[in-house]
Amino acid sequence: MMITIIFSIIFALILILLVTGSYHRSVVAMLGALLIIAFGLEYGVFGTQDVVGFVFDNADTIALVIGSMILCEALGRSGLFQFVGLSLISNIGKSIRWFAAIMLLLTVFLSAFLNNITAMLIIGALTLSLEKRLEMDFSELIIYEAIFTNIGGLMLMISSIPNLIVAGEFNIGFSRFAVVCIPLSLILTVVSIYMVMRRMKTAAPLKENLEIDPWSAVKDKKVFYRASLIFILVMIFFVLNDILHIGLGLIAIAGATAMLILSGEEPESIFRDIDWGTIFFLVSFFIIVGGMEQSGVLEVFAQDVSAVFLLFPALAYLFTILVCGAASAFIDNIPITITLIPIIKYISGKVGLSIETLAWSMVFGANLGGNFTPIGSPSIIIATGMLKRKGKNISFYEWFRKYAVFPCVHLLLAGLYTILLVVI
Amino acid sequence: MSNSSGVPEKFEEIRSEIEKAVIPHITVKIVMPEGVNKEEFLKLEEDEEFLQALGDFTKKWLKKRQDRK
Repeated sequence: MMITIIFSIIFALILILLVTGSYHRSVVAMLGALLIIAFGLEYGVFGTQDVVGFVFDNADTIALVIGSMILCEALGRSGLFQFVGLSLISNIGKSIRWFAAIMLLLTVFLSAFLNNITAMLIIGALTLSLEKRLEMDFSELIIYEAIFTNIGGLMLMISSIPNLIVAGEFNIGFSRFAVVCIPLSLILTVVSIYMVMRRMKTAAPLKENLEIDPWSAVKDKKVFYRASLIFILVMIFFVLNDILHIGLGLIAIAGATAMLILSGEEPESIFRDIDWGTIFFLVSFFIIVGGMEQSGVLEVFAQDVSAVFLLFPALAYLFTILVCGAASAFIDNIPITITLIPIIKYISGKVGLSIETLAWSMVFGANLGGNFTPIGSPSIIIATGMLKRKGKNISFYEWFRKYAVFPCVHLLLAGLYTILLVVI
Repeated sequence: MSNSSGVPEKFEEIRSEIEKAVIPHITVKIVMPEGVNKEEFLKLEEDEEFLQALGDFTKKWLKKRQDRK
């Protein structure tokens, strides 16, 4: 009983520190992991071998995250995504609405293959450069792009870290993930583009038809072709993994190694630009949640929730989307996902609900909820930072007034889609 | 919510590469000539008229070189 209270206090403290942002999130998670280990060992909840197990049980997910990060970093440097972007916007005429639609489609495409931060950096840099060339104001478009990164973030298994964690924990293959998530992502994209285009009815047309040579974004064509080939091969192996069962982590690491050898970039500089903070954050949270699961804290919570769901089982899917979505608006979606997984597993067993559909609910909520607040996702923080440099501040109030309608529509459609998944 | 620290440098790197493709430009270093006022010289970096004159000079220079060929 005592350890349950101690672990609950530690977890609450971690969440408070994450929400307030007083310390770097990785440092908070590492501190939390250390406290869980110290008290867990002291009270005999688990042994040192178990702590190693908390991490190694998730080795494939961790390898997949590291491999994907290296792949994306090298791909970004090859100019592939910049090339695709410039190709799409060249010679599209002067219609601002058509231009916005293409930029938003491009955003979804980029965030499907890259993490949201890199996708936002590329699309934001492109938008600001075009703004300078056309001498127009694209501030509003930058915000929409940030919102769209979170739509693209649920498209593929590799699109975001919560997707990778959920797929790893529930043994969902790359193809299965794509089959379920791509249709929803496309529906959300089309509906959201329609919403944006309605808002841009009165916007002035572009000042010129953009004629840009996409190859000018590519420094070395050889590197470009090599990187593109490795990327395509990795994607093919991800799809084939459902038959080959090599392990997605191993495929990602193999692709990353090939990229490090053949990209022509100094490996040291690629390693330097990898987001190691996220890796430490992820590993620390696996320890925190592993320890809490072992101590039975999560089971106590899951029992209470199960009691409610036994009365209204169908609500569990929608409730999961809402909880994940609301929490992701304020807290990082990685700890939310890792913490909810054991709870979801328990509830599924107790109430007799489809575990896979609950997993989809988590993916939808964790990815789309970030659009609720201006601090909800890294891409929005970057976008608002870009606008701040232009002297435009976006308050919470302004965000709710102008942009919160997007996540509301997204979560509503995701809820309907989940019901459809249950029915068919 | 997620962390996005260390982003500004990377953004500037990506932006300067993309900007070169969208607005082709070169960066040249002009050493201050002797006998000019330093303050006036440094202000030229932001002087639209000067930049326009440089652009016109570049056009003429490239045309002259092409004609020579």
